[in-house]
Amino acid sequence: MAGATASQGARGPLSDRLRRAWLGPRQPYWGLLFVLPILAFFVVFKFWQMFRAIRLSLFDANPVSPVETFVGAQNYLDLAGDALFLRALATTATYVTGTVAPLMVLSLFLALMLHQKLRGVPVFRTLLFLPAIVPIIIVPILWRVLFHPYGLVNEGLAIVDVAGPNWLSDSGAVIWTLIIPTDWRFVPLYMLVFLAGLQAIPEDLYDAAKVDGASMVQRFRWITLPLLKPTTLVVLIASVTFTAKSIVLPLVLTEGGPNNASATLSLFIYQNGFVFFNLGYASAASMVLLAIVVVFTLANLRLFRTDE
Amino acid sequence: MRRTTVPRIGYRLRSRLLALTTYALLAIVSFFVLLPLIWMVSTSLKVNADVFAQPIEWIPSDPVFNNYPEAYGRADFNRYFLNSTIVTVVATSLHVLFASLAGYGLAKYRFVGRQWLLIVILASLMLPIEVIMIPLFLTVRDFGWLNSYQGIIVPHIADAFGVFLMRQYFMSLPNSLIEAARIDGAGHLRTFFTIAVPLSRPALVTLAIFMGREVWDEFLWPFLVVGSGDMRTVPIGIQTFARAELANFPNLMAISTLATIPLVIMFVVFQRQFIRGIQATGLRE
Repeated sequence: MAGATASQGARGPLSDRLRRAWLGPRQPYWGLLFVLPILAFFVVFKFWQMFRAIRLSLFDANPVSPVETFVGAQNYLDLAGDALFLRALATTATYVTGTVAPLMVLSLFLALMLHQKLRGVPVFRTLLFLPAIVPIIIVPILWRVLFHPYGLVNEGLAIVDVAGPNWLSDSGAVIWTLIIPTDWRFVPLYMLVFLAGLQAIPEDLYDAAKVDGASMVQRFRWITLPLLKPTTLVVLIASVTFTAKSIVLPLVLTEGGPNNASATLSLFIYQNGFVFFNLGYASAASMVLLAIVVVFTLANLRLFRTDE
Repeated sequence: MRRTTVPRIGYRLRSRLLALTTYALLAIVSFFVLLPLIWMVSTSLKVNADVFAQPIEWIPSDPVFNNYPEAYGRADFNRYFLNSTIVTVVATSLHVLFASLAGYGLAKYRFVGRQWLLIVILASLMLPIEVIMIPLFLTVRDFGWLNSYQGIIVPHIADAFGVFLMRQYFMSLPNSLIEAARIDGAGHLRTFFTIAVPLSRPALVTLAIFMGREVWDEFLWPFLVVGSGDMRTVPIGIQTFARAELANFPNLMAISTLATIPLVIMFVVFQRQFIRGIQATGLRE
């Protein structure tokens, strides 16, 4: 309740605001004191790091020598002409769209199934959620064996008479070794988010529509879909941001190969920073990743606010 | 729209059919989703020569349980589990403490700039480790924290979702309870620890479980700051092991199964908190 009235309370002259400060006017700083400890961590380990990254992106630097040479926008200009960087951007775009499209459809579909009040459905919810429990490091290790030329994936394809490629060494197929495991691990998560969205839709809306003779399809089209729109947008934006920055699969499963076909943007940053020791160049690339994350997170925060 | 009255029997039949279809679809999807995990467990009980043998023996006729002690003994997994436990317990406790303090301050006090503070904290969501890994690594190195518990732990504390979650929870807590304590003469901190904290147990448990799993699972950050063997956390230990035993599939699957089991048990025991945590904060992953 305090929060609901807070935004109105924040208006008006300063002295008024202080007088109305809820736990007495003499200790308005106590609220700040409560926030300070964690704020210190945010300042040192988040915001200061952002400024360091911006600064580094304008320098030529490596981790072993303390000498940093100012190069202006040169790192950014180099990026614009770096075929590997542009390819990393394209790969990231493919990875994101290839992952998010099926993720949205599947997680909504499964949530709709789980939302039905049938006996035994909670058991399926638990079973379907299991991949989301698997430690993230196990995902590349397990799927490397599944994508083996004689592994489970190709054996499954052989049943329907399809000769599967050598997934991990075929530069045309390797993107699937990022997409499929990502969806396998994260669809269960977003399935639960959709389920929460469905459960928040008032039951009487459906009852009323039923009384009016609306069919199941009509109820879905005119009640479920519109009311699920906020959830859908949140899932869309969260999964795009998450996939765009994710690094574990390219780092451990494909190592960017073959022939850089699975080198995503975050792997590009990692390699330039921690393998080639090109700190300025890597920081410039990380600013591009930051821009992507900022655009989508801002959209996400706006949605959060309209939710409240 | 034409009003249609569906006969009672027809309606029954239709909902029956719908239920059947639902069960069938759920069963099919669950089957495909679980297949990799079943394969993982099944392979962990085979000898390497049989891993890709056809047809697949889902339940090995001659299970090789020895893969488990063998894989576990090939690296210092006791140490890795100890490291992960220390890192997870310390990072989670500190985060829960600081995040709930901040959430309380933001929810129950009015002060100039409060809204801005919340926005600034939420803005840090735009700075995940993937974006700031280069300067963050240099900072931790300059602190002399590479290869140390504090190096792995401390950056985890600055996480905005915990603050947001606790703020939302404390806002729903009635002011009268806190006011009463204050009128009785309890100090600000005392009111927080004796009134607010006990009343927010469910939210604290949800946050602790959610955060604990995140820290336990984190790969990139310890991967960057851990150099020597004896500071490895479980994910780093497993990754090093997987690189060394590239083709030892049964051992790999045994260690993967071992690493998964504790989390499955955790999930089954704390299913409600798990799901609540994901639905509240899981949007970020």
